Amino acid sequence: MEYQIRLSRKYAQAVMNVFGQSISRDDIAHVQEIINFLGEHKKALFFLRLSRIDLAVKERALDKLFENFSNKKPFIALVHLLLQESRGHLIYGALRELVALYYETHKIMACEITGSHSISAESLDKVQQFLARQTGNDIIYTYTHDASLIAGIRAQSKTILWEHSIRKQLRDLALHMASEG
Amino acid sequence: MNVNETLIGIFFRLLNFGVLFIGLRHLYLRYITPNAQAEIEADEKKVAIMAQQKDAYYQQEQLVNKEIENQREQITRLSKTLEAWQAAAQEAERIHQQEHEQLELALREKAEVQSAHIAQHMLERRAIPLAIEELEVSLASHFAGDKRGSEYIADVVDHIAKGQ
Repeated sequence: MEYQIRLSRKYAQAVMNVFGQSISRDDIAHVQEIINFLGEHKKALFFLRLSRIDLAVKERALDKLFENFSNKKPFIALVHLLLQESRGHLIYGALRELVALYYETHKIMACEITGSHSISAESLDKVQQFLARQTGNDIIYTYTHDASLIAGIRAQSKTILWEHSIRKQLRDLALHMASEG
Repeated sequence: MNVNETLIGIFFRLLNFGVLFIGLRHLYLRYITPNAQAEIEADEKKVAIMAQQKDAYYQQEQLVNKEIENQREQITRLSKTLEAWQAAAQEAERIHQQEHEQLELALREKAEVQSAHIAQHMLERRAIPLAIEELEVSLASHFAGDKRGSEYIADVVDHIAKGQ
């Protein structure tokens, strides 16, 4: 597994080296959607392992994933390269690593903002700006609802966790009382 | 009896006696005297050795006497030391006993305090989660509606927007 991740990262790095300047943030957002889709439907990648299916068929199927892209050349190149080297099954990992590399290169941090109640777009923007100030990165986020926070907000990325919620206060209170006792 | 015969006879008798005397003396000097001298020398050596042994025994006796005297002095010293040690040991035993009693008392008091702490800790272990749980239920109920929860979030957002 570790080997596959390293290999995927090398392919992603190659694409970034060649096409890095031409990839837009919108394209990356689309790639993220594809990653989300493939993450939920991993069985869809199974056909890429079947040698009886022609390479051209596999290429056409994967090309369709990127047909709405403004600049699909980098991603098509990645797909074709993987298929030609019989490593089509790495497409999911390679796309993930490509997004991660893009974020690293452009100082972008992907955060999941979780709220106990519905949050207005204006408030989410303020949270986004706050996180950008704190981390020095551009923040892109997805919002999820989690009633277990009771009341409050949590922002989490691969490297940071920020939370201001009743749930956290209760947790801190329990820890404090346990340590005092 | 003939006087000449008598003189000659006496002369030869004396001559015989002289020859016999010389022969005996020669034999005495040749065979008996050396043994006697050797025996005398051996006896003298024995006497000298015995004298030396006597001196050695005398000196040994002096040393033994001195050693006995030293040992007596040492026994006296040791006896005094032993008495001092016995006294010290008794004192140490008394102090040890006293300390043991004090320690036992302190231990008993500590055990009582610890028992009280454990009882309190057990109570807290049960009571704190219950209190937190009750608080959680109460807060969940308080923020159940959208209004209060949204207000809380708005407050948090305002708070962080001001950079605090």
